[in-house]
Amino acid sequence: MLTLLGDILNWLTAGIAFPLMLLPLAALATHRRVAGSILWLVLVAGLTAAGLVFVALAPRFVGNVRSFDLALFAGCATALAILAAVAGGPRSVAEKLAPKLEAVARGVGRTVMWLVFVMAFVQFAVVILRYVFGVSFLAMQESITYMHGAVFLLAAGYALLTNDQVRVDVFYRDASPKRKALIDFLGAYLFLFPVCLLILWTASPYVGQSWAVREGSAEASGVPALFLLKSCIPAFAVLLSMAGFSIAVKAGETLRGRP
Amino acid sequence: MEWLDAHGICLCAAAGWLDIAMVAALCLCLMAGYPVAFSLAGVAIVFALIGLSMGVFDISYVLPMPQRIFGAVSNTTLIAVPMFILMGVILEKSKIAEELLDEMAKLFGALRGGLGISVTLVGALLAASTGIVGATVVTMGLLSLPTMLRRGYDPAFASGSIAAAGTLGQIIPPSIVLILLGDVISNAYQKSQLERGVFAPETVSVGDLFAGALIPGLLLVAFYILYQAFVAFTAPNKAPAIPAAELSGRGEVFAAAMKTLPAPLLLFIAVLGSILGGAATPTEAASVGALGAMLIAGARLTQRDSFARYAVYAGAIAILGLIALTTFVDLRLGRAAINAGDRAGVVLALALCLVVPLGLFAALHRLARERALAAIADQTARVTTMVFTIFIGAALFSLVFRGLGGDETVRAALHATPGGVVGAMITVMAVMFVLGFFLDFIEITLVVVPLVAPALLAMGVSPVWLGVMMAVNLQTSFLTPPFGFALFYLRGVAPPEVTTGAIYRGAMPFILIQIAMLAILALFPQLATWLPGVLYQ
Repeated sequence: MLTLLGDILNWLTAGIAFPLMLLPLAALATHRRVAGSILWLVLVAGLTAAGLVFVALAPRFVGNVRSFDLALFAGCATALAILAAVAGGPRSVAEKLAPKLEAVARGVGRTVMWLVFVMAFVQFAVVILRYVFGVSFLAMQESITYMHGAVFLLAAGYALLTNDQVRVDVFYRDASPKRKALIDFLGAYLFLFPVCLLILWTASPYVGQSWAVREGSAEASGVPALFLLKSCIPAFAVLLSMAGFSIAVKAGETLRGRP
Repeated sequence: MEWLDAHGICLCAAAGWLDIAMVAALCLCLMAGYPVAFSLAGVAIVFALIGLSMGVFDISYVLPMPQRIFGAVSNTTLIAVPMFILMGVILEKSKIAEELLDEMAKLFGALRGGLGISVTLVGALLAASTGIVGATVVTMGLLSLPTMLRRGYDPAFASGSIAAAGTLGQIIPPSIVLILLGDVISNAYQKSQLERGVFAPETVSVGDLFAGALIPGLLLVAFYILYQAFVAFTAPNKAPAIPAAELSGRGEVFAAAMKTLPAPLLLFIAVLGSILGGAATPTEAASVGALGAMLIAGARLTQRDSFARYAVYAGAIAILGLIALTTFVDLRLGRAAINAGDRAGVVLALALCLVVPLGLFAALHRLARERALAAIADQTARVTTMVFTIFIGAALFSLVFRGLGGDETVRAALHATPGGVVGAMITVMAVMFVLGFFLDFIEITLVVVPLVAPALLAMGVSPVWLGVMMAVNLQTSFLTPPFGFALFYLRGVAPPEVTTGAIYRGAMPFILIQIAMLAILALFPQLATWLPGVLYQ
């Protein structure tokens, strides 16, 4: 009960985020409705099984997998696959979902960006209060940390979409659109999605515990919302996944030869 | 199970190489061109899985990942990064940087080699605004290169000057790179002291590194200018003066320059001075810098004699007034007894405080009308995110690298290097130099420095000197053909009549200057360590 939120986060990660990440892959493989949905379900189940085998065999792997989690996860994945089949197959669902997820990541980024001004003003006010009037308010100082964290964690998906995350573009720059799409597609599956899953998986106990005690500042006069700030860490991973989903779907379209 | 055990043994022999294989894999993956932050983290996950399956990696190494991310959030020194980026983006988007370049060129244009010198000076001044290689080079390449070519400058000399000036932003404080480097080196320094059993470790701050980089940075500027003057006098056809007839009167030029130059100059000096003087933390100074930049932008964009212009001026004067008042009157509230004079001062100060937001509001309103406000917030947020996402990727990479025993490997390799400290230092410098061809300053600072710095510091190297050497070394790397970053960016914006060969040739003399600077620093470490010692001890 103490870390219920952490558990919920884990379920959402395993039951929704993880299967959705595999949707663009299934969509790339086939446009057929039922076959695509089955392929998707096979991908999800196969990777999960591989993961379970790995956990069981890998020496020195701490952590256990509970049957309740697994049942929930299997249920979610099956439900999603059936839904996808009803809704027109993975490709159609992915192509409908991508712009929506992209809009969310973009919208969040375009909203938090304004905090950079607020940050500068508050920091300036802190400076004036401290150096001129000799008074300081801890909550004010802490609020800057909150805004700083919110800006770079919540704008990360947006920056990925606008191609602001630096690349070593010695070769990438002159590559053909197809080759670029291939790199983006493979990169999403080899690097981006695993990273997001790892962050979600490690963050769930961390954030769950913080929520359970409604963790506040270490100081009495600080901002009593550390649990909200820490929640930005899984949000960072979710927003990045959304951006990655949209990029993977677009890259998939290019790879299939659609203009 | 027997075959598995035998298998396990042979795997274990390979496991010792996992850390090295991880670095090799990273280099290969980076070349593909996927964003660096995720390549770092993704390669780390792949090797963590391999390590786990071989039983040589403990999962508990990656579990503190959220704590590491939260560390980037709660580290108050790093908050200086978005503030300085904001300041730089405001200066860029409100075209103040452009104007600086323009006025400098007019001021020095009548001299032989004057345009080249103005490029160097502006590059040095814009240090604060861009820690990211490229932004300065692109700005100056677009603005100055065409002018210089039109005025008959030798393409090689002109492009070399611009590329070199663009890299000055790395070394001259307050650069974003030095902030990151300061953070990393201070952690490494504490770690190396704790390992030696010093439990009350000395600290090194970002301010120390700023102070240490100041003299070498200014020396580089001086050397650049000396070289440019030398070329102008020995080969006047390479860097001709603008004919006096084409410039307006000397008095006029001077008057125009006096209008645009002092405000940004004063701002840079105030920001840097308050950090070096120990009066303010980098974050605090950066916020003042950002607000100052807003006011300067407001003053530049508002119409002459409009209410808004006066409001902006009033805001700026109110800030200066507050500073003056604080120096002469004790304004601290919350004291038991406040005498009448101080009380009047407090009232005046409060009144001034009410004026500041008025000026800021006028400036912001103007920026919004120019459609610059959203662009400023947007770019600041994007660049900040880029920097910190690499921070997160590098954190995961170093967690896994350490889990695979990479720390030990690096330390053993450095200790095994012939020549003791000098040999180890030269090796590290050479490796960083080569990495500088492929990676930006931020990645190298966040990935490589945490690995090598503790070992070097444990050998007794001074942390400030180490930081400055690394900064100058990377700056050199960015200038070196065929892969130097600055040259790449310049190639991207240079007109086609400037050949790539000319850009490479133009960079050569500046590379020699850089190498000379490294040699001087190596022989006289006091150049880096003297100023922080004087300021902070």
